[in-house]
Amino acid sequence: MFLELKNLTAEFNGFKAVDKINMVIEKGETRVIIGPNGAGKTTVIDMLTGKTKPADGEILLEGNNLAGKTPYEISDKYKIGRKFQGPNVFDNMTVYENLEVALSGHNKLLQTFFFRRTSTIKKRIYNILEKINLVTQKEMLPCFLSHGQRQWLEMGMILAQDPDIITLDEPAAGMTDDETYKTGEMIKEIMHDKTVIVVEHDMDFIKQIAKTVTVLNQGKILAEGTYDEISHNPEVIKVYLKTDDEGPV
Amino acid sequence: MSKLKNITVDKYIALAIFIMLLIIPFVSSLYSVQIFGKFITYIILALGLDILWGEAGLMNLGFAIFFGIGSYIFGISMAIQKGLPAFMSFGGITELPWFFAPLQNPASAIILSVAVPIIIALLLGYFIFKSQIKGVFYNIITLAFVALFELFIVNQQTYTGGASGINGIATGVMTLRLFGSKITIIDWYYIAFISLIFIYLFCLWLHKIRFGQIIHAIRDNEPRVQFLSYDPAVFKTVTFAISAAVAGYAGMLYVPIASFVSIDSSGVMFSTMVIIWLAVGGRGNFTGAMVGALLVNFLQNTLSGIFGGMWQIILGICLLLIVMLMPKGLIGSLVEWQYMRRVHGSEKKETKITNREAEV
Amino acid sequence: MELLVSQIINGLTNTAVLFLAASGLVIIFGLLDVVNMAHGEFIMLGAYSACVSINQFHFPFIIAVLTAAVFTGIIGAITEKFIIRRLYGRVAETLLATFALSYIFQQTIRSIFGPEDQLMALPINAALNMGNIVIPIYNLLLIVVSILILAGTMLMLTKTKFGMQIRANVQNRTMVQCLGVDSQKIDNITFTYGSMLAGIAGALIAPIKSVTPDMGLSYIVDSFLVVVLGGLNSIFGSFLGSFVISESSTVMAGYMSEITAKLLIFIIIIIIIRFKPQGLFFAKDKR
Ligand SMILES: Nc1ncnc2c1ncn2[C@@H]1O[C@H](COP(=O)(O)OP(=O)(O)O)[C@@H](O)[C@H]1O
Ligand SMILES: [Mg+2]
Repeated sequence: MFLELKNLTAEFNGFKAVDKINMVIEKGETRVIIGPNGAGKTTVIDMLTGKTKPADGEILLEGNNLAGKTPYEISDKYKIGRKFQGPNVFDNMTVYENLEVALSGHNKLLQTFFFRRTSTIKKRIYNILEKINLVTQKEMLPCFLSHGQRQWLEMGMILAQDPDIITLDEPAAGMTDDETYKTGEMIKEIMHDKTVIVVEHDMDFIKQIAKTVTVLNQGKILAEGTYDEISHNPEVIKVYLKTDDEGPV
Repeated sequence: MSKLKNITVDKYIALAIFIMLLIIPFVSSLYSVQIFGKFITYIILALGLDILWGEAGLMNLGFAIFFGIGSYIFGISMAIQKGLPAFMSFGGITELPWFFAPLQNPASAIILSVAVPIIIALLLGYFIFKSQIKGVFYNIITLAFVALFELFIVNQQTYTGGASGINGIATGVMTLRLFGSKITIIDWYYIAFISLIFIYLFCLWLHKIRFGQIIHAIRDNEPRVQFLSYDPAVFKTVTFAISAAVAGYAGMLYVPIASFVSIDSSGVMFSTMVIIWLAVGGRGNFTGAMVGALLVNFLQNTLSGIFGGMWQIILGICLLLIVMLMPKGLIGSLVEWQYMRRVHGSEKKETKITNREAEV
Repeated sequence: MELLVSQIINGLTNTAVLFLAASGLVIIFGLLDVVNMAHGEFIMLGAYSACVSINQFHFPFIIAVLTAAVFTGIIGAITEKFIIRRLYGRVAETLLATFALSYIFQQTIRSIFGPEDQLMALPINAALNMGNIVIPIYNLLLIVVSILILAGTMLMLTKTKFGMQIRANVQNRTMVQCLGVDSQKIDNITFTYGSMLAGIAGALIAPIKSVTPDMGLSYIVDSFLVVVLGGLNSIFGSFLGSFVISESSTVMAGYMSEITAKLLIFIIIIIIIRFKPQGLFFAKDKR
């Protein structure tokens, strides 16, 4: 077992946003978590990456319990990377610098004093720029990019960070259909050797990337299975797929 | 050619300041040399705060404390060169307390005047930043710290000279030798001047390297940085220590030039002044800090004679107006104006001015 | 033992003083999210106003206190309208602007009255004698007034319609505006109320503490320590914070110098927030 969530619970002022969920994710798997707004998807990611402290339960990564560790420790020691819901990048830095800051292997204090832009490093960043389609925009500030491009930039930051587990919170939110499709390909292509946990709404998108889907509703796991199983599960259809028309964002 | 054109206006202003400071001893009286020598130490102090506030977004309401520690350490060292100073013997002690023993050697005093601020900043920074104390609470602690420092200095009359400060520094300074000869006030001036240039270059370097990038990232979006394998607390603590070292060094230089140390150059009021310099000049480009320190002190020197107590009210009102109307300060606004002109001139692109000061 | 008892009672008086000084700050901080660096100077202005009322105009003490409240209230209202209002949400600028303001107030008072201590007679000279312990009635009055202010403010915030509006305004501004409440006016009144509390504090402590242009500093530092300890949006928490700080510093001061006691408390507070960053009591969050 690679990553296991055991009875994981999150509480906000007595309200259980995530209620005793259990989940097992294998190494190299791409797992999609879906569910209506407020189901607790982001909160699960928050606990996984150290932003929120679980009220109860365990997060076991190869036997180590991550529950309650700081985001710094989780990203540094346990190599879990994160893309936030809604792009979260450094607005005062160029696209290139954003990737450079995220670049792994140069994060210790002393390393930051002696870091040089060697040709290997430039090449690494250039590679990422190509993968996220932002080569010509590399000197731009993120505020000049489109919403979709900013999402990609953040995906690029994750690539630069090079974690073992990648969590993506609504990576295709607010994108055009075309961009969404491209994002799906991006995830499939560049993250194929990683463990990826994706939170999404868009059903076509889920179909494109996922083998296993976990459905969350009101903090509990409602169903788990392949895309086909899930999309034919009557309960899921009742709470989730029907309301999809209203377009949760 | 295009490279030269890309240099921002603040660099030219910095150069102009350096040239002006270079020639001052040739064209003015010894008295002015002393005054401007003090100003140079203030400018270094302002650069120290700019590293902390401009680069890392950590405003410090008690920053002069590190300047004060540096100057008290070197000042006491100078005062004890010729036996027990008056303020100690008045306090009833007959021999030098053990904790002042290392200060008998001026060289070790110089080292300590930088090392002690670093150690204090590391300890304080570790506690503050590891505890996730941010924003206003951080500011409050820095203020409380300087207020208590002031109380402490004033109360420990026997060891610090209390409210009246440390006298008898000049005789100690006279005993110092550099390459076998006495160090004149002009020498001290140029020592300070050269230090200033090195520290300015150091600041530019710090701004440019990856460490600088990371602290900018922390300043602008700390929550995001945490998820990228950086420990913000470590980076903030180290920045705190670097700025404290610069301030301690400035305080040390202040001693031989001013020949006097008191709480007036290390307490709450003086900390206020440092904040004002940076608010007036602007933060984050180092020239603003220099201009602010020089301008406010120069005006204070010339105008306080004319306006008396009114000067300080005028200063307060100017500060208020600058904060309200020109939050980036004089140089910051100038740099921005230049940037906008360039952007509009070359690309005609809509520019979003991003707020560089996410957090104080 | 007697030393301890009288120290505890002294500590209660100091709790009252500290709470009075901190309450306005906490209200403005907690409800408006504004750190008023000039809060200490509002206290100072209240103290000077009371001194002038009594020494120049020979008003009765109670009138002097009310005058001080009105005076600082007016200054607070003006400050909010012309300065603070333009800076909501911009922490650095608010800090700097109120900082500039504190500088202006201080220097103005200094240039009018000079740097020396203003004297003000104790309005009530009587004292309670209990064995060897002497408790001035005025100290008891301070304790009572601070409890009244605590109770009054809490009742006002929880039980009156206006208090509801204030709290709603903090939680959801847009919603409150939709309901037809003028939230700008509420901001202004909140700031004014905080300033008035500072003025009252200044007037009440004028007879027992030194009144100088830079007196505000020590109060603002102590008030901030109270906030750090008591949490930022809880007026009751700040009362407890005041109590803990004053009692411990007063009791400790019986055995060591006041400055050592203060330093020690400062260090203890820093260590406490190292392990309990939310403050000791009731803090909801700490920006
Ligand atoms: N920091 C928080 N404080 C209080 N409630 C929260 C917090 N974060 C999330 N919640 C609540 O937890 C529930 C789940 O939120 P979230 O995980 O963001 O849902 P999703 O991402 O599935 O839309 C929601 O009801 C939300 O209001
Ligand atoms: Mg979400």
